[in-house]
Amino acid sequence: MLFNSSDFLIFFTVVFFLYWFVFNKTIKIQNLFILLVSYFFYGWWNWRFLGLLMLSTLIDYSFGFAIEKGTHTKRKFFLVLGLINNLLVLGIFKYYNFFIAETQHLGGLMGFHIHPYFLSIALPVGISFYTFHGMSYVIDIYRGNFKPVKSFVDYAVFVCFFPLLVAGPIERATHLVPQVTTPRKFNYAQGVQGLRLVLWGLFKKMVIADSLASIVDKIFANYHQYSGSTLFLGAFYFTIQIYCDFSGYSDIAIGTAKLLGFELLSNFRYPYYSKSISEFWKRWHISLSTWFNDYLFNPIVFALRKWAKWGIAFAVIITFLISGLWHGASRHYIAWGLWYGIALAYEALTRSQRKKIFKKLPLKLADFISWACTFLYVCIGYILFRSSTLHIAFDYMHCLTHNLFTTPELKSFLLIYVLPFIVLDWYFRKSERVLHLPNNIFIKYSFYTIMFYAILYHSNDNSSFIYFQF
Amino acid sequence: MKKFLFRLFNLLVILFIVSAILQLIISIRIKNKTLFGSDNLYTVKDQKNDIVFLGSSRCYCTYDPRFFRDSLGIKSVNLGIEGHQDIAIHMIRLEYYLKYNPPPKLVLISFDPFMNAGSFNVQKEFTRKDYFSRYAFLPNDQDKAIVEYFHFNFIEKYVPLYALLKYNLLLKSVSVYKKTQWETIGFAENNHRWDTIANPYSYAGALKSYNAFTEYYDSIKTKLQSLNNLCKQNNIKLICVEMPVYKGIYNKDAFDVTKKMCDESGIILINTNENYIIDNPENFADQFHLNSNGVPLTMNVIIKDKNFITALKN
Repeated sequence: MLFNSSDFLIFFTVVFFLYWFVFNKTIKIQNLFILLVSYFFYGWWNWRFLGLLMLSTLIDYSFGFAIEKGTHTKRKFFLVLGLINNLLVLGIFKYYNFFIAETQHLGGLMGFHIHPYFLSIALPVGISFYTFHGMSYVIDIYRGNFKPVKSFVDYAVFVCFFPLLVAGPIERATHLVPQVTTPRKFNYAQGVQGLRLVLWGLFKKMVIADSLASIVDKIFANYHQYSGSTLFLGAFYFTIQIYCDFSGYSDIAIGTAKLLGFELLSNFRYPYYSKSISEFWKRWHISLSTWFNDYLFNPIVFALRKWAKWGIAFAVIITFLISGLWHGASRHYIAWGLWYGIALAYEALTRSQRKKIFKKLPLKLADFISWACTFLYVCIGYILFRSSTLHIAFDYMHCLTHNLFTTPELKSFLLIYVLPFIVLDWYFRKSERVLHLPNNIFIKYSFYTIMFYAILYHSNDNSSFIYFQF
Repeated sequence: MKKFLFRLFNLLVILFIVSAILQLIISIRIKNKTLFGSDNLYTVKDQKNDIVFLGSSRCYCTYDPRFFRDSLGIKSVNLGIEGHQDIAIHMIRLEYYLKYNPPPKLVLISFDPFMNAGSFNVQKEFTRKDYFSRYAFLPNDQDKAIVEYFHFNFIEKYVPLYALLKYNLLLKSVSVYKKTQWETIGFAENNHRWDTIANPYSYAGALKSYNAFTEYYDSIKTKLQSLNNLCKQNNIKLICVEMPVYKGIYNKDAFDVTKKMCDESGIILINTNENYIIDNPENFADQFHLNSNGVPLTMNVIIKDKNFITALKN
């Protein structure tokens, strides 16, 4: 069930009224209701994978207690088991075919002809997200940051809460579980903010991202036919498209949760205004980057603390290689991860030198150069992300160098969609998650009306969200 | 909660009122006008035509009413709807015509193995659905059939402005003063020549239709007979015409199946697939459609056909 579908509109309207008016007697009933509708929401896509979701939830829930009650060795043992459980689910459904194909390819290069068995199963939606919920839960308990959740229903709501089930934000038990276990009351301001975020998210997804998608698909599918300038524009359009698509999804998820009395973690903080790659990753897919930071990067840095700067550089490259792989079982995603790993390692190793150089420049010029370089690097990186194979990505980059300084084709989209969006995004940049509007009823209602009609005007194509495939 | 719901309700009421007003303004503006050409359900009124042409794009871009006027001195109208091979929509179109116009002498339907009866390849995303979305909101009794044919959903039917916005008709309705090609010359003429290098012919797609036509023979025949009955009730003679296709995809056996169906149903069939037309790609805009070169050649075949002449005289 897509957030941008009429199915979801009907589903959520019914859930909203039942949640606040029928199942509002006790917190237990309310949570049980949320869990059931979350399963319904997930099952709407493919009910056969519901069993996997339930089993995975149950195992992590049980390991939480086993870790808490166990002795030092047993704690470690159950932690490893808990991690293996989640990684195994991910490994089978998401990475098995990829690694088998790579092994086959490698074997072929060395003269061994292997005929392995490939699985023909669909990738369960949201698997990368709910397994990460499970892993963070068992790690936090092992580290002593969190006590196991007593009620299975409460824990299952943390893992399966429908607004974040398929594409995040990746929540932490420390943040969400207390909200699950505390009675919730409807808050007017929170409700209004929630609705505004839903509207803004739908606008970003349906008006901007989906409109740009058609042109991006066209450029990437026929990149040989376009000049370098048009290919650059294609990469730029995709940069805007993916931001509107994913941050639009996150806004709808956060807004929907707000309407049910929950506050989810932020996922985006205007990333394209970043002045360095490290800043970009503090603003882009925040819930994922902080997850990797807490559970992968920091432990590696700690283990390699004797290497000082080089330890950080190594850790960041490893972390982003895995982050690339998390996005998809394909070489171009790994290359995309490496693209950022290298940039971040470079930033970590040259921080002091760069500071010295920038000190000599006027502040605004230094800021502008930093922003432009970062944005350009992000744009080029998205060629790796968007292309269907690594070979195509490199070929696209190669074609990009031809006739780069000519007038690009297909630039009308800039005026119609991109520039108005940038103006709005710039206006809202200080109010992520809240979306402040001037306190004037005419402006507010005009804003709602324009958004509403723009969404309706673009409601012909209910395309899926890019991050649903992960 | 009360305050939230109250304000939300207010907002929805405002949106509803604005939408209803806009829907009303647009409906008045485009009433009895055509935006694209084939959405001409209410445009053709009180016309005394001798011939009505029905069919898909192969009809819409081929039958030139000017040719019949100049050659035979008769009045005709092309009511083809591009992208639709289903007989059902052409029957609906004829019903509209008969409601607002006296019955013609003849109905010529472009009928070949590319036609169907909605029995295979059930479409969810109909071609040209946007053209007919103007009829989706609160359909009257007459429009119900076409709204059902296009599977317009509940929201499209009952929420004002939704269908017009969804199918991008809002801007189009502003430019309604521009005359369509259909209004100017009576059909959608293809003036370009077929670029056979960029778009070489492909037999695969045609073969799929040929197979489907044989597979769904009975249901197509039933639909054809229903159309024939409708014509008979109004004292109209129905004639099926097989329009030319490029020789690379022309399959005589498949076109003979159409003939067999017409023979069994007692309907006259004219096959215009003459070698001098179909052998020459210069007569085509693509493998299925004639261009301004091929149209007069094909029209000549029709007006010289004995069955056509007899039917017109009677």
